[in-house]
Amino acid sequence: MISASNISKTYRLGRVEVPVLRGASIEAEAGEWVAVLGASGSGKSTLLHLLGGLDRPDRGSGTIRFGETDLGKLGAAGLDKFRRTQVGFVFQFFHLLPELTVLENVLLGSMVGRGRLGFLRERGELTKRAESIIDVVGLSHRLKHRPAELSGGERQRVAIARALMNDPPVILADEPTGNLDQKTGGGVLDALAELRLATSDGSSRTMIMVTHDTRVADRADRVVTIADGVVQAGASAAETR
Amino acid sequence: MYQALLTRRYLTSKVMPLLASAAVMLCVAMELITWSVMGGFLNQLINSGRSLIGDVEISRPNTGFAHYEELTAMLEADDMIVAAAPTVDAYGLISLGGGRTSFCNIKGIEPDSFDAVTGYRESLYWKPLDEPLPKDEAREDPRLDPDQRELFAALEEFGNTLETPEQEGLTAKPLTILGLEVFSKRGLRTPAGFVAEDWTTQRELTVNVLPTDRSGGWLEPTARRFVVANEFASGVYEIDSRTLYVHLDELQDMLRMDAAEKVEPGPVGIVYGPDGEPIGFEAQDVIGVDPARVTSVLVRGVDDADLLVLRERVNEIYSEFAAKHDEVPDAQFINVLTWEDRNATLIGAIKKETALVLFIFGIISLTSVFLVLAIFWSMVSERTKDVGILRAIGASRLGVAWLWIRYGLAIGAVGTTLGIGLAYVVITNINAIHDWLGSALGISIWDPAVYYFTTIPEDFDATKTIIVASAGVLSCVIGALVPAARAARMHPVKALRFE
Repeated sequence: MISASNISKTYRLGRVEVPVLRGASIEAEAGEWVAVLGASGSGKSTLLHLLGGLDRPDRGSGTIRFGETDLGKLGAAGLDKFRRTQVGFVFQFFHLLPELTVLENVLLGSMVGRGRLGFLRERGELTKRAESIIDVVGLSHRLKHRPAELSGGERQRVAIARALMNDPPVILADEPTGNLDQKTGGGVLDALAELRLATSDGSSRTMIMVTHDTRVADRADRVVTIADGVVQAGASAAETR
Repeated sequence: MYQALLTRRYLTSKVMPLLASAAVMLCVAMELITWSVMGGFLNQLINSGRSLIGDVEISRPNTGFAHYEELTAMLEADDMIVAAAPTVDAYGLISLGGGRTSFCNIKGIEPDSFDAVTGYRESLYWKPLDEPLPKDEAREDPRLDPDQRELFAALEEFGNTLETPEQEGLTAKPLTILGLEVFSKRGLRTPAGFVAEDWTTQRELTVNVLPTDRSGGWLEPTARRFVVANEFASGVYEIDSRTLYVHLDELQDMLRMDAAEKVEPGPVGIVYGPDGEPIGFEAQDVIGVDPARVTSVLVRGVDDADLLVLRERVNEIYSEFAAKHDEVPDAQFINVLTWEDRNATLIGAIKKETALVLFIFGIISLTSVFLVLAIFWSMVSERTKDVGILRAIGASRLGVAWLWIRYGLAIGAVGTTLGIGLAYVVITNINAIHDWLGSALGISIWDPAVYYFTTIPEDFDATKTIIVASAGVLSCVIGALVPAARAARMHPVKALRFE
């Protein structure tokens, strides 16, 4: 479904080059939930950004494939479309737009994907869909609220709803519970797990989730670890335990 | 779609966009007010000509030309010309008694023809009014007084005809119509715009002129007493403060431009009485008549006439006329000018001044571009994370750039709309504001003696508004371009990590 093979990423801080990923490889099958477990600074977020087409690996360092598509061969517009249609991001710090309401934040992805006329044509349907997703994450009573009026857990639920609005086959979650207490985090993971399975065609979504928390990783089908920019061989969650 | 939504939300969420809009508002209002007042002044100056000399003036100062009745008839027979009016212009000294004297342009007119060309009767000031002036809410204008209605109706009639009333037992004196500002009665003008007291009419004044002979040589000065029958207000200070009208026949007589018999030159015999005392001169043989002369013939063309074409046509008619009379000067010795031609230096200077002021204010308004740029730069920095979020959910660089350009457009539209509103309020109330500045703060910017007109032009021109509004919006878009490009070039990952 989605795979990265031997990719490297080096950041430049002034004159200093900081290698973050060194020939990392990862693969997730369709419908599989893979947890990437690693310490802070191990390169797990960078890996997620590369898999989601937010960034590109070092030139000539390897390939990232989504199905038959080589992301390295996509231009800027191709990557924009890839992010709009194939992946949904969930971030540790929620990244909601503070001026928009819950409903508008969730609808944002469909606005970006459709353009003005397309969105207005389907507005009714899209609004219904957004409301139903918001209902699933338990925030139907918060539709008109702004992010500042929500708790951390509620914000993350909104972020999850936004990520799933365009019904992407892949969810990329970057420490989705990293900023939440254990109980709230558990609820968020439940919501993610539930919505992962709720696709339009009945199949489950592929989810790659990076985390430093083994308890969170435990919920995944498979866990890979990352250290010093290198992904270690994956094991099933049970084996990791 | 998301750009429209975010633009709306950004506009109402922070003080920064309001500041940017306020800057644009002030720049737009400043440009529009300046252009409207200066442009209105220019238009007023150009258009005022029609109420002063008509469309075209044929003139030969001082010595004038004869057979003007024939020329007038020839002009009025032309399809392009509605009316023609002979006039005589002379400089003279007027004295109103009490040491009040003034150097004036004395204009001899035939009221009917002069009115047909210039609408002179409309400018007569003292006449009964049925409705008060717009600002005279208390109805204090003396012209509204029903008790004085008869008097003002008589004054209007005198002004209309300039004919001396026949009153038994009184020495009839010729009438004159005085410019409303000649004796500087501006102190009597109320803020509502009317003169609180009829101070001048029915008084007598003395007019002194210096006649010339046909060849331009000076003759003995002539003085005559006139009764002020009315006053006129053309709205052009320069005219209203320096002009008085008398009947054409009267001024021709004073200037010795009226018709006179011609006699054979030579020694004149003296006639003695029975007591041997000289009692007169011998009658001479009349050999002809020296026709009356005027210094100008004013011409009014049909509505919407092209003044340059009309001027050419008047020139042609004059040439035909001059060809018929040996004693009439050829076309090359005659001035055939439009009002704009006559005031070309002044109008040209004002046009240049207007352009210069607009250019300077345009440069000042450029600061709004940099202001918007600076504010947007800061806002893009503040919204860096938003850019990262939008890119993460698939927004293109162009889409992000358009968001900021659209935002600039919105700020420009809001600021421009407010600016137009502000300019409209100021322009349409500029005289009231000026009066208030004068009464409350002692500031008087508009001096009629300098700016020709007694009131500040209040024209709110649609074309100028469209041009200034477009420039206002465009400057905001230009100011937003660089920050928009910066937002579009942001790396999504760096933007998401921005703290």
